Amino acid sequence: MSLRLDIQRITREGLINFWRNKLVSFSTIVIMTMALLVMSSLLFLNAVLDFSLQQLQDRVDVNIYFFPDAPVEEITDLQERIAIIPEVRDVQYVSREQAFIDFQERHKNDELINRSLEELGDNPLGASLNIRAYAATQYEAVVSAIESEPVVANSEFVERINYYDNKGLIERLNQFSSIARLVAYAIIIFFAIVALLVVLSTMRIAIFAAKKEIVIKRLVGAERRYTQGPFIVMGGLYGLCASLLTIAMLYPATRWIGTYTKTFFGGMDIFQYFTLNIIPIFIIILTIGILIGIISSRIATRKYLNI
Amino acid sequence: MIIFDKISKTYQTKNTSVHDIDLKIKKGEFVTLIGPSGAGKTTLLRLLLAEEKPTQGTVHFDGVNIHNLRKKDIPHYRQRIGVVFQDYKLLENKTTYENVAFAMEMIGKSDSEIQADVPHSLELVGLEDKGFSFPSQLSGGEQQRLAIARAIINQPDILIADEPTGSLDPDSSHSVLNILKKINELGTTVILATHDRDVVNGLHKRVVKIENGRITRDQEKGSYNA
Repeated sequence: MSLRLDIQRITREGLINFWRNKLVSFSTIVIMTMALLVMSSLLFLNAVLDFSLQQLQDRVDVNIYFFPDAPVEEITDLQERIAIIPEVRDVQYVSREQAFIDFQERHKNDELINRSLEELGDNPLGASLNIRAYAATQYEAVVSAIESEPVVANSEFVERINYYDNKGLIERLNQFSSIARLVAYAIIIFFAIVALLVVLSTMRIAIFAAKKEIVIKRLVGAERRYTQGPFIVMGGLYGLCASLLTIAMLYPATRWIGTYTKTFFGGMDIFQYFTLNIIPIFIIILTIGILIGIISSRIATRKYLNI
Repeated sequence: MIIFDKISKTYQTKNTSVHDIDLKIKKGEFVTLIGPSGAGKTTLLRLLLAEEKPTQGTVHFDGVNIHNLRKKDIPHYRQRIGVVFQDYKLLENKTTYENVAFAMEMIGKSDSEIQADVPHSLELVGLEDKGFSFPSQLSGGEQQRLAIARAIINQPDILIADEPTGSLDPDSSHSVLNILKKINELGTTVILATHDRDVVNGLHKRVVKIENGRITRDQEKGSYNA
């Protein structure tokens, strides 16, 4: 028998059964949609967590403070050399003047400091370089690369590097990030398994109703592909419908939740994340939906095929 | 040729069982299995269909021990057998037409062959107007005839009919028996399990009587009461 004819007949039967068992199809799709919604919300949870951790890490930087008499050329030369270190995301030069303006701005309400500055009559602050790495774990490597630079090693112009002041904080942040990710992954895996089991149970109930049909087909000589095939097609169809429904429901849901996440998670707009990543999200949900449908129908029919 | 060689089948949970059955059925023969309910007729047929495995003994079909067949070969073996089950075993989700067509689809018949043969087969059993009806919309007799149409559509080597007239009126029983006889005349081996006295006496074919799981009589051109 030709494979094309086989596939055509199995698909046709799967489609007909899907349509004729409307109630079973509908309830299975509803359960599957709920499971996919749980899974996709975990996807968003992961994105929110990533965003929040990134925000936290972005606040960490390492500063090199120079003596007030350090030549600007030496500093900008060092800035260029630091910028080419692979782990470095950006290096910002803060001039003496800018440092003085920032200092004044920060302490504009402090009468004592303002008076002291007036008495000094000169800018006592040196320039600095603010360095940010891609990840908080990379600062140690970045700092050791900076320290190997001759101008830093000789300490001719460098007053201090504040990495060692912040080292404890950075390490704690790294530790917190790892634990937060681990907990998030555990939660995601747990809920994904629960959702998978719920779908599997629903499919088992749906296929249990068709147990008689499988047995009859086996007894009249139908091969495995003719007994199991239509159920696999149905499972795939359930997954396809549930994925489309999930995407359709995610649009208004993320739009609504987005307004809250913007406030709670420091600017993370989940709706924007959804619309920007709609294609990969759709592909992930569609793949998961169809795979769950196919795999669970395969598992659910297997036990009735031993006749 | 079908050979039941010292076949025994015992169940732990059921009373029905067969003991030490020796039976040879020649190609093209019409054999009637008779006996009271629970005598073991259906068990014997289930063993022949490889639905059950014997506790002891072997069943051979054309020299092959059917219980030694690999799992994937069992469907091919069953495709050579047409079965009319006592409880019809129709596919409830399929129409009358689709129930018969399915039997042809699974052996790889083309759509044009299916479109040509199914209406003819439904006409043979008097269901030509019920093609779009589902089994639940048919009477008991109509369901029985549909089961026959499905069983004979692929011109099987063996036709097993388990109480095919059990729920039929005399006229319908007569037409079912005529179909079975016609199939047999075309060369198909027919094994009919029944406890309908009139059916057996009207056939004048080989009669094998089973009582308490044992063959108590095997008679050429027999009748219900020897």
